[in-house]
Amino acid sequence: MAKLSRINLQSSQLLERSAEGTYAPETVAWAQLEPGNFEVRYGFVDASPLRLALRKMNVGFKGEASVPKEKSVIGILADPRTRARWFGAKMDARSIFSSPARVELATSGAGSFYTISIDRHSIARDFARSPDALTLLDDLQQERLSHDPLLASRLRRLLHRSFSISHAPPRRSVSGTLIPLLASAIDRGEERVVESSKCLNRRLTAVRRCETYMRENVDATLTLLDLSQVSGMRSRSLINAFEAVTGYSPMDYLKRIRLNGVHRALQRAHRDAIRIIDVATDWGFWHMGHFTTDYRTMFGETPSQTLLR
Amino acid sequence: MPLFEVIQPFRARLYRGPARTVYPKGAKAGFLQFWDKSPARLRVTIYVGVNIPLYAARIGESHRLADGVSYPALLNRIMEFTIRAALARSVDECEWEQDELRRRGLDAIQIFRDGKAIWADSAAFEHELTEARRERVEQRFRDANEADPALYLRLDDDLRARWRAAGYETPSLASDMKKIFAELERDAAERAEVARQSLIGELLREQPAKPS
Repeated sequence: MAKLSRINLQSSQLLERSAEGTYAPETVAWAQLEPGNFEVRYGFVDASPLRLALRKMNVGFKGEASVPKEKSVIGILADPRTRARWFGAKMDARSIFSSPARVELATSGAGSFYTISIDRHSIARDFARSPDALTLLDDLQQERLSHDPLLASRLRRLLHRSFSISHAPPRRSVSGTLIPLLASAIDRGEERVVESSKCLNRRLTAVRRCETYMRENVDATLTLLDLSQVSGMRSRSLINAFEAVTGYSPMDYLKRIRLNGVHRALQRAHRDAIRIIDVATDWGFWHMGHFTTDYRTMFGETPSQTLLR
Repeated sequence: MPLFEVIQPFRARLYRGPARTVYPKGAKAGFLQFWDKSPARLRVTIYVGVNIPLYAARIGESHRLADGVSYPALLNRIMEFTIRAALARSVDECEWEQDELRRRGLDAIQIFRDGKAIWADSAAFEHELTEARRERVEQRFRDANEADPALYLRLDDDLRARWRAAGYETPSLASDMKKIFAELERDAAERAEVARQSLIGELLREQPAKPS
């Protein structure tokens, strides 16, 4: 009988640290969207050609990353209560997503995900005779989101079990159980779910345009009118789009992006090489009193405390 | 460069007396005094120029409530913004800045006086000042920041007095404005209902009694 002992999870305040083996770390862009001391706890199980990952975040965040070439990612909520959006589409306990190139996730509240990184090249080589593996490879060409309660529940259980034993699942279990299960789950997925919904697609495009504009003009005084012009949407529609995709209104979201920018800059900088007042100004904060209060509310410490760490 | 508001001669006459009586509340001592001798009446009129503090107010990093206005004008702007916000909310058209004011009250408003950010939390100010000192930017920090918790208390008192004069009794507006918003929204809804009923009545009255 397999030895049941929970796998040790590592902990970090930087989401990119948990990206190893699943995403290209240099492409990880993320922002903490809710107040709290952000922490990601993560662990991996190597079941070549699959690499399983568990990531638990204690507060809501929004992140995006690119998947390395020759790999694809399949994901599912580890905790079915997690409230999450994948490319703006709502995920729930039944959802399984697959992405061949990019992943964009946003959560509200604490959340946890299982991801399975699939080396397409190795699968094609090692499981050339498996029809399930060939189906899986074929389906992994597109972004998909499936909603199958039974398959999702089975997949979650299997992953949960993989993370509960001290060693990687034997190869037989990978080929015999996980690959057919993934193949069925992804096969039932709605291909390119984002593009299939015109409304969601339009909203997502508008939000992305605004996000890019916000990042390029973080130090400027941006107004809703500016964002409205950039996105080509009326103000009210843009507010609705932001609320649907990110859970926040545009200006609220902008503030969170800015606070994250300062936080990241202070975390990475050497204490003597940076001045808080300069960083705050670079990220568009003009009132230091309010900035300090908002920063403390968001990250649980003052800017100078972040700098001292 | 200090900003001056020159009080016109007729105002100087109106407030003749010790110079301090003509200064608006919060103004610093007279910086400019022009003596205008009128030979016909042998009278001296004093033109008094005082540098009154000028305020700017923002919500978030983007929404300007006021820019370069006197204290009474600042009160007007905050009241106006509050009313507009409550009306927008009553028709579900509320923007984030407006809702921020409702949720956080005066805490949501960033106030600048003569270009300096006013801090409501003295302890936080001292803490960041210490950090600025360590970073050797103390003077720059002081040039752009000032701790004055009393200003926020004064704003709260004065705004409540104005709301009272307008017929609204409200608790402190310092940490939220939910009560005043609720009352304004209710009044707006009632007036809208009256206007709707009145329009219906008016349109029906215009119909001929018998079909032609």
